Amino acid sequence: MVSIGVRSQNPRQTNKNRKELTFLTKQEILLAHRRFTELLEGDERNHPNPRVPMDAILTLTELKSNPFKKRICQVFSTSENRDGSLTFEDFLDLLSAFSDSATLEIKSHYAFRIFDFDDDGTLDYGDLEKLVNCLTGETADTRLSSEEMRQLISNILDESDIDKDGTVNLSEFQHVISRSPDFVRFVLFHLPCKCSLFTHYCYSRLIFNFPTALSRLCCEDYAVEMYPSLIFISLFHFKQNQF
Amino acid sequence: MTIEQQRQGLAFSGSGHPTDQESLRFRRVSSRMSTQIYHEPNSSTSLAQEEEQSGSEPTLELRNTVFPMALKKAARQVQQMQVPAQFNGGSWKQKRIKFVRQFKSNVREFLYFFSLWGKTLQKIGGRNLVYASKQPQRLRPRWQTLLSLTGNFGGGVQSYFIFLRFLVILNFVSFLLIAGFVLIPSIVFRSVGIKPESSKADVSSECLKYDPNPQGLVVFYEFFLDLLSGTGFMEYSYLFYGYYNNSVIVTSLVGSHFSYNIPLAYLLTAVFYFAFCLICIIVRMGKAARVAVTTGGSDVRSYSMIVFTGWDYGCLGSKATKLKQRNIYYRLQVDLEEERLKKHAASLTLCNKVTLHSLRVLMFFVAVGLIVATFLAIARATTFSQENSHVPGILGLFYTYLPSIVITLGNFLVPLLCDQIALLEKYPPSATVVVALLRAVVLRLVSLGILLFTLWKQIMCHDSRDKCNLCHYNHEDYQCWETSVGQEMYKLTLFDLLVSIALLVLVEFPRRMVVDHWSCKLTQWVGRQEFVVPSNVLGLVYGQTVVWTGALFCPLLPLINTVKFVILFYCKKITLFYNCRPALRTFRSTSSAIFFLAVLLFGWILALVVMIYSVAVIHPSFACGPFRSFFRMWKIVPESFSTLPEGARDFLFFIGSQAFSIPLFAISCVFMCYFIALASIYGKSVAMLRAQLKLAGQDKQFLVKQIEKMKPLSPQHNEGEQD
Repeated sequence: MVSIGVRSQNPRQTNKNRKELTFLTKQEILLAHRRFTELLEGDERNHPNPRVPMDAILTLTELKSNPFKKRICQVFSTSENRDGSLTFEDFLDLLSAFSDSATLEIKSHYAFRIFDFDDDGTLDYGDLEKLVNCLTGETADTRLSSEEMRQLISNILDESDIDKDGTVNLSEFQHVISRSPDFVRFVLFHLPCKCSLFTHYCYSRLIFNFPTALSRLCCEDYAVEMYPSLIFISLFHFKQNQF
Repeated sequence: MTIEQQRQGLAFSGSGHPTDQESLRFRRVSSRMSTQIYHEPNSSTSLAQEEEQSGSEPTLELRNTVFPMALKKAARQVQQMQVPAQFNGGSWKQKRIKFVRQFKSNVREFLYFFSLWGKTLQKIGGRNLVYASKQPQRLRPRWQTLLSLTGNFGGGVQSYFIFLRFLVILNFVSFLLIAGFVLIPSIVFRSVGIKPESSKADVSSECLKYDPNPQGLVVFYEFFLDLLSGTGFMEYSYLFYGYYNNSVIVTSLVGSHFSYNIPLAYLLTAVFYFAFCLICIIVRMGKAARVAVTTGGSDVRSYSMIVFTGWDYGCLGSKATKLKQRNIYYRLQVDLEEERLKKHAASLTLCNKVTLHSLRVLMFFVAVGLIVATFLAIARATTFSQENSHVPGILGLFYTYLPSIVITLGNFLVPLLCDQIALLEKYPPSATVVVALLRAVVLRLVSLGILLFTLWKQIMCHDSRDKCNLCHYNHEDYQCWETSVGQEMYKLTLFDLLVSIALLVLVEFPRRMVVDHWSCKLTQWVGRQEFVVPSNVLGLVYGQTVVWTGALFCPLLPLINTVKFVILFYCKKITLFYNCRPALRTFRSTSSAIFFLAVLLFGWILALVVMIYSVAVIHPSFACGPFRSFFRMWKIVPESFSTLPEGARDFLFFIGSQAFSIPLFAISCVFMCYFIALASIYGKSVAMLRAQLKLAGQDKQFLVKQIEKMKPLSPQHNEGEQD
């Protein structure tokens, strides 16, 4: 990677580290940062490691109507008082686990933790009941009756609980998941595609108006890298607009 | 940090028994975690599975771990401090591996561009493709948002379109095969001016009469009638068998020895076409079977699957979320109900069981009676149509299309009646679906068989023996019987397409407009259309069977079928997105793929029987076609055999002899036994491992209970154990 001009090493090195520690591409990290800073209040942006409260995270369109939104925030949060607030690195962890290239093991591990409502390391009857209620909707007419719930959960435990201890632990959960070809749908959202970033880059190069220091650095960083894939980008742009 | 470690420790241990022994496990796990940080993290409790697990790729393995970012960064720093010496060489290797991976993903993106209808298929089924994990992420955003708007139709509907795409490609490649070996040489020889050889057999001139060209002036609408029924100007063309000559070209010029035997090429191309289709079907079936086996036998009511993997975390709006929730609720309810019914059925009294079974037997006979009645109607219609084929005008067109009309009507009405019968039979829902499908399959394919059987009866004059005495076939009605059969198949294909388009325009669009804009009780009850996957797939299988049957007599039929399936794809796509609502009950896609291919194989067998019969039993026409001078079509093979060089002949004789085939058979039996033994051993080891896990769990519980018992007895013992 060629750095153009004299800039400090730390933001670029941080980003490179982040790219290698997650399943996201550089562009996605950049755009994630932009979405994250939009959620911050004005004065918090100057904080070195800002933390966004859970209510602000839940206003993201992708999470707004997801029945597991609170659990997702709580699982990825590293805050001391477990209030579901996320730093930028927690946010990246979240996106990485829900991205397309994350491995099945990562996804199944985080799925298990999301379903584990009481955080005790296994899925027992209460966890499964809450899980089914989230899946079917919380309104009265879409809930299963208690008799049906009991039948369903006993069936689930019959199928998944191999050591018959009444709970589903992580390995049993992963065993069930590995037999399902559908689990690739464990993907949360997609940040806007490369082409919009390319146009953003061209635009900003022309007008010399970079929104943040970080994005300026990242644009120049992979300016060299983008030339080989220019053809692909323009093709994608064209192909997508065609439909 | 300690709280997270504790949480992760518990998650890692995987056996969260919420007792006082948490601290014991936490100690153990934290020591394990610390050793992981300072040693090669190549297992992380079997979570990391990167291909290059060497010391030069520590960062990628860290990516596969489930630590939060801060821990990962700390681990990475420690690793980098630990391996400074390898850095130079490792970085070159790293770069090379990274370059290869980038190149591979770029190539995959490029190839994804060229996959036929890939985007449409993704849009229809959500991302339920088996290959979804290999698709590039950058191409998906648009479709994900579209998905939330249009709704996800599920894997069953998508499997229909995947099947359709497979058939399009199969037909197109077969057409290329036929064009390369039969069509283009015929065109070349005809344009060069090579005349057909006259028939060698001494046969009366009656049999050699063949006059398909229209006489005199033709009325203008005759053009369309001929286009639709394959007669007139279309009959004597490359479309049908009768136009091809039996030219055998042997040139022995100086320097070049070129020979081409058109009749042999025609027959062998047909044989290879069948073999190619069989191989494609079996390969695809193998792939589908592998998927079905790895996902564990496709449980009908796998509740764990529905609950653990049923939710789509993509960006759904609130409306789509509610729809999805209702979908899951409905599925769970139906499955639970089915289980209750099964339990109830198992607990019936003997008297009830007897009445139920006798009712089922009665309904079975009723269904069989309906199907047999359809067959009789088809046979009668075919005979009638063949007798009145010379009536001119629109009425004549109606008579020629009569068998197709009766088949289509039968295929529409009889399944409806069978559905009503199924309500009385009270099978469990999954068995009802299977029984209905089997009935529909039998109806469709055997009705085609009846049509062909009736045709053959007429050609071989089973009714009136005197017509066949002269030429060994019915030369009065069929001067070129192969072309007549080809025309029949051509008409069936065309009629199928016309009916689909007519249904789309005249039934489905109006239904949607009526339901959307006029709300009364009737329209609410009828509702928007649902895309019924099984009957649509059976339509595809029927169309493909017709093409296979007719390919020997109408060489351009695969091309016509390709175009027909492409048109059908777009028609069905339009009707799916504009007229249909997402089904509440989704059709299972893994087991159904195998079922569709099995039905297709059944159709292939039917077509093979037809081909073998016409090649081996019926005398080819004297007046037309490439086999006009042969006693049977397959006789060309022994005759051209004799022109082969000595070595090739001996080799082929050896392959056909017992000295070769019996050892080959024995060896393939040995291989089959080996694979069967291997499969049974794997099954047994899986069962054994399951039992072992169960015992290990019981042991663990026993030990924990023992510890609890011993705890109040001796506190100092407790501390000793914790160290």
